[in-house]
Amino acid sequence: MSTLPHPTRRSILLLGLILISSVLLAGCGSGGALTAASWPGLSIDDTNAYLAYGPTVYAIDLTTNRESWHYPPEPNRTASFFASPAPSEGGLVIVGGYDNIVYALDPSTGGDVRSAWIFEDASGNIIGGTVVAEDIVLVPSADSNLYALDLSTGDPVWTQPFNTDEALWSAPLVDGNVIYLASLDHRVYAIDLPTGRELWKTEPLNGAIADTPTLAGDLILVGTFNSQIVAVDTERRGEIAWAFDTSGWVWGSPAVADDLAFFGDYMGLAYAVDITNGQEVWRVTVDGPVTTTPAHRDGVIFFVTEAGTVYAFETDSGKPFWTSNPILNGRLLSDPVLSGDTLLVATMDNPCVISAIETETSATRCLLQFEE
Amino acid sequence: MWNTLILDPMINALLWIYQLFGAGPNSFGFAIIIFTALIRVITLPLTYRQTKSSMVMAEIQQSKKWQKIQEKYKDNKQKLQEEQMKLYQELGINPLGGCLPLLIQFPIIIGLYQAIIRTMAAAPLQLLDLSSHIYSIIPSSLIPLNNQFLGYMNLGQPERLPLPFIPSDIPIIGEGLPVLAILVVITSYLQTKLTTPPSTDGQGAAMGQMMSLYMPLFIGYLAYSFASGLALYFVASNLLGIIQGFVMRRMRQTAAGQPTK
Repeated sequence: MSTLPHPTRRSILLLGLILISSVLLAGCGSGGALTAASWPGLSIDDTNAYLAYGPTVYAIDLTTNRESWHYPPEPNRTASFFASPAPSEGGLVIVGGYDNIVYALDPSTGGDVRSAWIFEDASGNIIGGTVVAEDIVLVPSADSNLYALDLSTGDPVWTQPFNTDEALWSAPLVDGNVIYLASLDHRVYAIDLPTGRELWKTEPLNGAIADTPTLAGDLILVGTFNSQIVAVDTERRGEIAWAFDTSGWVWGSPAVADDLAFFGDYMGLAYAVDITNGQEVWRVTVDGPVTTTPAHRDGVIFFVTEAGTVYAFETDSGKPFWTSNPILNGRLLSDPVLSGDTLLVATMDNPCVISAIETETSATRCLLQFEE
Repeated sequence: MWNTLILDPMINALLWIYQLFGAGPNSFGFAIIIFTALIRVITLPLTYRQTKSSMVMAEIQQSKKWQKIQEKYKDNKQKLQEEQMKLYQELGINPLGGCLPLLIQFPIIIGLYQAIIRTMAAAPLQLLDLSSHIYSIIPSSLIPLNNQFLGYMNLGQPERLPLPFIPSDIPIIGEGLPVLAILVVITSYLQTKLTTPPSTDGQGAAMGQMMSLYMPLFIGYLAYSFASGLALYFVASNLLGIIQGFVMRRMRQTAAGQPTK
């Protein structure tokens, strides 16, 4: 038997490098169903907070702070959830899956919550939250279509889905019989709710829009990746009323109170702008990117940052009301949700996945804890 | 450091090429191909040295002189090694000459792969990550990238060519023919065959045979499972590697005065 000649040693080295690279390549892939593709989706109704995060949808009783139910009973590799669940008055909770399927969860089915119906016609992930408007469920899909479904059966309501030129990552906004839909194709669309017919659309806004539009009187406000907040006039069929330049991409949408629009950008700035003229009222630097829509209550605006801090500012001046201390040790990428005098915040990379913060005192408790 | 020196320049170069191609359908596919070719050209001095070194070593292995030494010292490993090193010194060869270029290329290849995957950003977390890598000179209106290629392919999704005449319940090809994954397997095999020198040693030959069979299948599996932008990169890279290997083999044969096969 001969010794290993150098070409063989080099083959072993090459094989080793290829194996290491294979692990790295596979690790960077996004094919696995359980790979986090987005941030937690959080919503509430009168009794529960709902969280869609990875393989499970949770309902947490807001009175007892205990889990009411979760779906599916056992996680499976094919289903994952990130879109905010939409509770309906009839009791069904509609949630879009990252597996392209819409589930109508029926908590009345007992311990193991089952789906009253499912909708499987979408060919893209459901990333933006579903919306229930009367007896119609609106489903934005990454396949660039907005689907309208019958709430009780899951059957399509329109003759065909409403199509845009790019993926839909945000829930639509419904005002009466008009749907306002923001798309990654840089436009905002106004759609007739009963028929799915386009009423008007804006010119391209030079940047993708990743969050739900905000209604402020006759204006629709959206944040864009073109580092702008754009005000669209609904009475003038989508003409731009004004645009405000920010320092970085705007992922969230503005919150509106007392003629002021509040929003943050990816460069870590929080702004207040007069919605009547688009002029800046104040700006504050925070400790990390702001990628969410802030929440507002009683003269205080609440911003969350990717660095894990919650800020409360006075709306009229931008003066600090409080800052969460300590920070929540995780990325805050989901829109904060107000439930009475409590601010609910979903956290990534932290076993405490929902924190409840008292809006007056900033006292914080954990509402939903994952096992480490 | 990794992001600043490797990943960010690659991501922004890829976006810049995408913009040059009009930022429309097919643009990202062409950007991947051009960018892969550029990286191949930049690393050409390294791959040239590596391939040349492999070829020289293979020639030595097949030489009568080495085979005589092997026969003579087949029962004395230590002496055989000494004679082997002596032979390398006589011919002025550094036996590790092919390893260093390989090691230098490695981070570039990983960076190229990561740049392509991150730039495709088909999910919110990926796009959020991408936004922190983009230089301010790249217009944000490019985002999201148009991932359409050749009319039927979304480069952010695994590729399947729709074949209406194939029943959908047939495993693997029922949802469409994975053309790129098949091309990846074929081109990976050809490239391995062309650039891996045949070994006369039993262990080396077995190892080489294993690599030439299993690695194309493994890379093909990655191409089948992951975003087709990655498969396109594999195909482009393999084809360029095949051309390079073929040209170098011809050059050495010409230099040695051998007839080309």
